[in-house]
Amino acid sequence: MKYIIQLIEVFIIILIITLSVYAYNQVEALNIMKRNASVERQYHVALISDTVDSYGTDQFVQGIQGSLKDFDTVFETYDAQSESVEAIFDMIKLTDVDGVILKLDQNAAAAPWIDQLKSEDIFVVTAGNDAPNTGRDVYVGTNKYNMGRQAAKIALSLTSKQQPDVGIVLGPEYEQGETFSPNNFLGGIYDTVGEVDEGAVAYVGYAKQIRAEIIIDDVLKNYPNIAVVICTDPVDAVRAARVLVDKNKVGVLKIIAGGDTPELDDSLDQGIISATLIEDYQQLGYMSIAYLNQLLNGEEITSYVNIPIEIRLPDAE
Amino acid sequence: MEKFKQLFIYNTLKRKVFTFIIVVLTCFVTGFTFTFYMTSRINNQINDMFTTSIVLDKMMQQMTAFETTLEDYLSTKSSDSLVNYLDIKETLITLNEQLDAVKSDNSTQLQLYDIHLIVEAYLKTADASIDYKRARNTERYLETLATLKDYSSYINTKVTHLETEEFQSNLENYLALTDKMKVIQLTLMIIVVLIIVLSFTFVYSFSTNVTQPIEELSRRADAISRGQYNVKKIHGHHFQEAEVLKTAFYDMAHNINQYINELEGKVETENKLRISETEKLKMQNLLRQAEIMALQSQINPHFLFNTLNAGMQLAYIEGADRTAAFLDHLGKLFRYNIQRLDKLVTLGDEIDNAKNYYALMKVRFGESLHMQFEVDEQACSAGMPPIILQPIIENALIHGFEQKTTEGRIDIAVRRDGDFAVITIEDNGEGMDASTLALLNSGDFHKKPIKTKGHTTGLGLENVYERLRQSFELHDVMRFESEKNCFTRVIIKIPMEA
Repeated sequence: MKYIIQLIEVFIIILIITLSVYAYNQVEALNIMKRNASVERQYHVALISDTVDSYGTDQFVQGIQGSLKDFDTVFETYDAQSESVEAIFDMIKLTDVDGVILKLDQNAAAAPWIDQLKSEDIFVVTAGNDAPNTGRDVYVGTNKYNMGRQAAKIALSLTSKQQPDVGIVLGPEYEQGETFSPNNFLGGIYDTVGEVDEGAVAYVGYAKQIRAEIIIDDVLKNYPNIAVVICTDPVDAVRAARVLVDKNKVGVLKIIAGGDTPELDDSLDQGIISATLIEDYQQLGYMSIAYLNQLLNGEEITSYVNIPIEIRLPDAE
Repeated sequence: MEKFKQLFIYNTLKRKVFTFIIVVLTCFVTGFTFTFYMTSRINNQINDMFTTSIVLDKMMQQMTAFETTLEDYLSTKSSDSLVNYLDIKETLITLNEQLDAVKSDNSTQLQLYDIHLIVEAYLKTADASIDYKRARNTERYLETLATLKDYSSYINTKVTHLETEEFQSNLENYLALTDKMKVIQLTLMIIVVLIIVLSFTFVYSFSTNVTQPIEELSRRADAISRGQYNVKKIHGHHFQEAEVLKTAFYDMAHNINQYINELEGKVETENKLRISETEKLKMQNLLRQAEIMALQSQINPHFLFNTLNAGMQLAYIEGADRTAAFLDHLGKLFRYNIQRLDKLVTLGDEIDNAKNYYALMKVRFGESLHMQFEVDEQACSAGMPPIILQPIIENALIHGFEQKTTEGRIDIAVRRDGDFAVITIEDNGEGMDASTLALLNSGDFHKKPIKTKGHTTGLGLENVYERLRQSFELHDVMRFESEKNCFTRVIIKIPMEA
């Protein structure tokens, strides 16, 4: 009996110690204020974007976040849609920002502010689209014109005599009525389609105004000559694919999508989407910080960094 | 290890109680301190969630007051306004220092870092506006005032942005906290319950350790009171006082046991002594009885010897040789019979006396009695009480040949058997039944009365047997063998060296 009691005592003590360690770890794991685990970094970078909620910017930010540790940098995002660019630049100047990444629809439109930042010795990287006539330090991006041409070539390969036309669904970064540079994505499509005798860009829809499902429905009903729709945004492409599945029109209307979300990959595997053009936004984000870091470290770098696009076809998997 | 044993096992009861209380208290204090510490950490974490918001809220309030005071001073230039301005500025500087502003990869800290820098710029701009006002540079003063407003709006924007982020973050944290708190509370509750259970087991162990030796001792004391002195030892090590009690108790029990054993030994010795004295008295009584009987037959023995000698001489003178021999044998027999019974004689003397007796009885019984002696001379030197064989021969004549019509034979054989002399007296008389034989061999000569009537000596077999037994302290000194209507054999075995 004596030994049983002693055994119980030892067991209880072990149990108490185990539970105490468990409870302590639970409280430590709570770590509500994660600031304690934060690390002070050397460089302070600001991202200015007017498409903060878009898929592309989201991926771009993920790319930046992945680079921060590698380049001893912290970064913050300014939404150019909710704040005036002037105020944003003011705040950047006041907060000892070492470098700025501009990812606006039209970086070239921010030329005066870029020069002002340069006058404050703040490095400027333009991402996605260039501001060539400014004092920006580096452009990191994809050649959108070439990308448009690639998309158009794939689209034309999917057309037929009965359906020679191409449709375009532009993502939320595109505004209806905006004037486009001839060397951007749309310019590439138009130029390529224009090079062939048959076929034309018969429809351009703006997902920012009308949801992609309604656009696709409209195309199916009213544009029987359209064989392919190019969707610049992956979310719109998935929505379009869903309409085709629901209306049993898979194959009747083909979709070429921009982006590489898991949903897109699934749709590609199932043959609902014919091709995806991947502009590697994460790589863009990562490289933006990498080149900015080189600038901050006083290294000589190229002023134009091209990130190649990737085309995925069902057969390619 | 030895020190540990000294402290927890062999210690005094007082120290043991003290140690026990300390251990139990330590258990409780540790448990409750741990619980308090964990609760405190959770509370701190919850407080931390709102600390930044509180500081920022105060800062925004102070900024509003700061701007009002600044405008008041710029418009009135009153010293009160300036004092207020400086006070609020000081407060703002303090609050600004309280911000956890670090250029870190934590977005909240980075926003606080931004706010911190903008607030610094804001305060410098405010000072600049006062300087310009004092310098009557209206254009620059209005410009800096506008910049101040811009900075104020930037701070406001940053704070709003931060609070939105913080709210989201705090909401997530709160939900996570609520979930984990249930588990943590349950764990802490189990820990407290386990500590209570552990304390109970400690109390049980301690109380058992203290009371067990006392209980065991009381059981053994009860056993001793019931006469069981061989107490078993109490196993295990206990506190010092219990060990002292145990040792004292064992010593006491051992001493009592030893004393009682000694008493029992003494009683036994006394009993033996008493029995021995009783036997001695019995022996003396028998001897006295035999002597009385012998004296009864010794009516003036000197007169009888003189008369018998005169008769014998007369018989020789008259030529009656047989009568002279008869009287000679009778005189020897009488002389032998009147000697003291507690003096030892030799076996040879006994044989001679038996032969005298036979010579006399031969005259009486004639050819109907025949006795044969077969004597080993080496055995004749053995000492023995007198008048042993004669009563046995008389007994054979009286009982064995009472109803016998044919010749009565008595064979007396003496031989040496190692350190013993063995005397066998066998008659061919009536013998006896098995029950009588068993009685005689068991030394019981009273169950069946033995007739002594007609004996020369008047001594019975009991007297013979008792004298032999007392003399040699041998129980099997005399035994009987017999077969009804066939024979009776008396075998006497005496040591050669008495």
